[in-house]
Amino acid sequence: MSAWRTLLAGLAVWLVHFAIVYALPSLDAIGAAPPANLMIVHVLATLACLIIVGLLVFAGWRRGSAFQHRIAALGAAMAGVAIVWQSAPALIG
Amino acid sequence: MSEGSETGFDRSIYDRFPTKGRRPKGELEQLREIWCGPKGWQWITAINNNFVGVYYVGAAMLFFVLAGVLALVMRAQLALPLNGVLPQETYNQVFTMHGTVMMFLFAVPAVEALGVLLLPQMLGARDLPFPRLSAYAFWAYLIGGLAFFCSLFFGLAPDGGWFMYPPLTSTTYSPGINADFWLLGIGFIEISAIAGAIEIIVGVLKTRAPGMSLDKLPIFAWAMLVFAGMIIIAFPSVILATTLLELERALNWPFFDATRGGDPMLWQHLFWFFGHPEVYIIFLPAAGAMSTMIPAVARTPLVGHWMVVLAFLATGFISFGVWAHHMFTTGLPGASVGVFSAASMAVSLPAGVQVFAWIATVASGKMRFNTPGLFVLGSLLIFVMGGLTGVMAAMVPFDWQAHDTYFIVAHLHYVLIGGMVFPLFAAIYYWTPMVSSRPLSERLGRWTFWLMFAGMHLAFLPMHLSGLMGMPRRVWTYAPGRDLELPNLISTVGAFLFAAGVLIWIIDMVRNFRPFGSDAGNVYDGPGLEWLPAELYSVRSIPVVKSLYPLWDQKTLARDVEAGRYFLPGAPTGGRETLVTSPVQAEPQHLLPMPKPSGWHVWAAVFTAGFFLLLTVQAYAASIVSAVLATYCVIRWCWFLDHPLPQKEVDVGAGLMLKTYASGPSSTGWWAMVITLVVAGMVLAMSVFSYVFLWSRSQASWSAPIGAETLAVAAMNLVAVLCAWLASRVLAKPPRLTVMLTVAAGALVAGAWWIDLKTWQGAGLSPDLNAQGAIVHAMAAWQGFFVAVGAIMAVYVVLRWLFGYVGPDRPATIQLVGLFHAYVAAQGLVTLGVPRLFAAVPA
Amino acid sequence: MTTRAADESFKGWPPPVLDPAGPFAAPLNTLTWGLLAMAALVMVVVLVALAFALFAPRPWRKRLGGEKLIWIAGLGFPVVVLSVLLVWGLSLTNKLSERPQPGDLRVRVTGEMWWWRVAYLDAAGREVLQDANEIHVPVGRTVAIELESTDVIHSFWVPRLAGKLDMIPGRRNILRIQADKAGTYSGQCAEYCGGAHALMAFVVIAHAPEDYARWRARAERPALAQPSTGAVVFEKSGCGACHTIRGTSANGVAGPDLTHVGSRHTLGAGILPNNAGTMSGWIADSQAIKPGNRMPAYPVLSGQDLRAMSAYLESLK
Repeated sequence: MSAWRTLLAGLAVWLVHFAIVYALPSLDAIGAAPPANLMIVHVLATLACLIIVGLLVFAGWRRGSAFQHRIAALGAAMAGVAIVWQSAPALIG
Repeated sequence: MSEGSETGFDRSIYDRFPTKGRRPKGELEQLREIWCGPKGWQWITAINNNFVGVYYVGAAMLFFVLAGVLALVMRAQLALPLNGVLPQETYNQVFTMHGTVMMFLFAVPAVEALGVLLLPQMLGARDLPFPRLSAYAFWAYLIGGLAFFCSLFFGLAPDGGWFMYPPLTSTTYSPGINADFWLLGIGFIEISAIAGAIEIIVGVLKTRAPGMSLDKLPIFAWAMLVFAGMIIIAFPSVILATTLLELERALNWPFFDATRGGDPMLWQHLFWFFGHPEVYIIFLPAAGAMSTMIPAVARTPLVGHWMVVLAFLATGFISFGVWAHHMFTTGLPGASVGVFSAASMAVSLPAGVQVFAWIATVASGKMRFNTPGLFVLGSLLIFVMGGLTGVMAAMVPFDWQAHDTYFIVAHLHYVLIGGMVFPLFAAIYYWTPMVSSRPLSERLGRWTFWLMFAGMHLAFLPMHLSGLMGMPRRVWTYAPGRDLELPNLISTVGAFLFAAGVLIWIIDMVRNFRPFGSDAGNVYDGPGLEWLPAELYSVRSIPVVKSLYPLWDQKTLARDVEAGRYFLPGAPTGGRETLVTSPVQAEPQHLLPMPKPSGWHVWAAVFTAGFFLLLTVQAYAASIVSAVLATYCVIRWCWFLDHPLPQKEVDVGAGLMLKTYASGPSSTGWWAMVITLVVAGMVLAMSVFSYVFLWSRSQASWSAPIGAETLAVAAMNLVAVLCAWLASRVLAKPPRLTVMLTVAAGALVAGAWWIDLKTWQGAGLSPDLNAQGAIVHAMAAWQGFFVAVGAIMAVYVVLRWLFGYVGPDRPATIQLVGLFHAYVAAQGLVTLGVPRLFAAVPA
Repeated sequence: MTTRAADESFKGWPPPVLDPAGPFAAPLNTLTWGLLAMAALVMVVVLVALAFALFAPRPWRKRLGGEKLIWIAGLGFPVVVLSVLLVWGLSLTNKLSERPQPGDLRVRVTGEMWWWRVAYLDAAGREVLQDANEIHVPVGRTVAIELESTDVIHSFWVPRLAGKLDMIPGRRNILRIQADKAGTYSGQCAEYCGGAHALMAFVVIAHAPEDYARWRARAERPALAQPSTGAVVFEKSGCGACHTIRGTSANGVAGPDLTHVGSRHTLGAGILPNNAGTMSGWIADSQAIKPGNRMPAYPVLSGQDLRAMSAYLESLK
């Protein structure tokens, strides 16, 4: 079981971040909260997710060149790129 | 992955293999006898993947040719402006069928079929873990698919486009049963795909050759694993969408009807949440095949194997975050649209990794330009072109021009033909020697390739231009004077050239493809276990795997396997069987006895297809009869299961004793049930999404009845969970107690459902008046269906008890029924709570 | 403007997407060329890499045959290129999604199966002028087009002036367009709406400001009441049940407004040039031209009646 956690942790963080940045504009569209508050949530969530994937990249890289550790590190790195990209629209908009 | 043991297994046992000395007389003959092929009419009831796999690929290719002929007719019509080959209505049915048949009856089944055919051999298993299930999936698909295709001949084919947007597809604007053919027609495809996915997940994770840890799992198996996982998560969305649209059409429940609070956009979200992962579902197995064939043809290991594995995993996740890029022109808020654009960029990264892994592999080896080699190289080029236009379309402002034009038609054909069709043809040429006594012809293969390659570019390259020139999609003709004549004519010529290539392939198949006999051998010198000498029992003995490329690295493997020097050289229980191993390290866990062929699964498939088809033509009484018969057949099929063998433990090789009966979380049945419940849970999740979506669009606030009944329903469901859990705990007591707890669980969820439904109706909610009524009743209907199945399961347990089949020596049935009842109760709690939660939130 | 000009507006060459005529389409053209350049560049890189991988001498192939190629070409390079593209795309999306401004001209276009109901709105959003299948705009002024539908999903697309936007029942989407040159710009329905979707086109006609004022004044006038045989046939045949001709008793709203149909550039929603011949042909049997459209054929009308009615309608300029 822990093998799967290792392999998929980074991508799971991506999934959580995606769910958040998907939900926030929807909440904005129905006026559920002031836009400023939603932006704060957006920034905090993004930073938190980036820190976690950063740690996962570091942990994977440190634990050696075994199959699952390399996959874990690259998966977290790819997730990190995707998280940066999908956080951009709220910031550029 | 060589850390400590996953299951407590002592790996020094592997050192006993290959065993020495001769195998006992008669062992091989017994194996052959047990796995003997079908005689006469028995080919219909065959369940061995060597048969079902070939049938499956054959059926998929039949649909490819049929849908391809439709495309030729379309191109003939579009060759000239205001042409008279097809009138407007016919064309609209033809283009809808071309897309629907290609996506649902060809693409997904073809790659699933490839898995059914190849995976057991590649993994060193004797067959798939649930052979009758994959046979059932095949027959339901074939019967239903052919009937669906025949709707064209009666002018009853759906004509709403392959993604069938309402309101066009509601009864107001599509009054005939054409749309119902689509909605119910793909119903059994959905079942078929999910059955196949369960098979593949359990097969890849639980029936590998010992020692084949995850780092030695063949790349194709990784692709199929992610493919199957994606089906489990994505298909439920289209199951819900088609159910809702059918309810709207048949019973007038307004999910998508804006005049009563529904929203056509709900369909688009549900459909594309399925629809986008669908195309990666189609692509991944083909990509896995590419990553298998390129190393084999270039005679060198795959460069960056671990990166390609990660690419599959990343695609599997990120492709679920891009669905609204099909909806960029619908007026979604800019911030939402940007997120989907970003994720669409991200999903192209894993594809780039694979493309350069292939190029690096070619560079590090010596590529041969045989037919598989030509097809994989051609596929790479075409796929890259399609991927690049995909990146273009991911840019929202560009998509505002390109969406719904022939530019997108060009893009989708480049990625599908390059990413799936060409790899499939490569795979057909590459693996035919494994199943046929003659390989296909290299000479004819070259003709096939070049005609298809040239024809493909000629057909689809001009479409990029005609899209930018203003030609929209799904048009039966175009006016003269718009300069569209030349690109369309060129496309038509290209399409026929492509078809000529396919025709040559068909001729080659007729001349050379001879399955079910001996095989032509390892013609291309491939490294995988599927190239071991094999007969209908798969390999003579199941090897210990020490590398990713066993036939290259373990030189004496073929000889030792054939001599029976590894696991299971015979059939210790006297029946069909294979090994179950642990998911990560592939340590042997127990023996999996497998069934012999019988007719029940075929009849179940016939009646399942019958149920859907009769419902489509509104023969409601007959469809109910068909459903009852299907249920009866499934029960008779299941009746064979969960009977412990007289031998509790057998010697699977070199003195290793394994149990012959398994239950609980490591058993294949448990996994199958859990995966099925994940599917159900995803449908539930999508219905919650639908509820929230419609609620957020509603002008008026939605109220919900909250009172004593709410508590009663919650309590009943919780007690039902308790009963379900207890039922398998008390098996050591008299079986009557277990049976009573099972029946109680079934009765409690039924009662809870009834009370909840009555409460809503008492509050004046009606399903056809407004969107809230519709979605609440839809969720109630879904729960009702599960309550009914739970009741049938409770009856099944009672029957088993009456026959003396309930006891502590066989807990599996009780456990699985308990899991199901617990899920139904949990689902009841969700359908109770969600509407009341949102009623409490101010609008 | 003659119908010849309308025909030319439908020409596919140069491709309308690459021939912008206003500020909401010009950046899309730049983006398209930028993306095509990126795609061509990547294609060249891939082709060269593959060619080297297949045919180059051993030392070259050794350098390509490792994970470094995947890191650089498969990950590093795409991350950089896609990041740049994403920023470009997001900021352009943002710029083109600006809400309607107070100075915008307001028009409402409602998608029907299979034609376009056009209504010009005043600043408060009230309909002051009805038309069909043609939209007249002044050059250099932004027009905010409110897109709606009462039946199925359609999509409004005039490629030389803007990207497309869907018309979805139950929702109102607003597309801002602006023409910087006088001329006629062709448009097309871009969401499959069943039946004759292929034959659902329209035109946007941009006038210099003075010409626009003149057109507007004439359009707002009701039809000149000229007694004619054609008008009598029109009334007797019950055409007024579906069509409106302001200034007469015809006031149906199911079909296009015909008050100034004689000056329209096309008939049948962008698919026929507008002259007496095509007008007769359409009335006699529109089903043969546009199968399934909501106007029935009129085989009962005699040739004489058709010609008279056609002349009458053509006179409604």
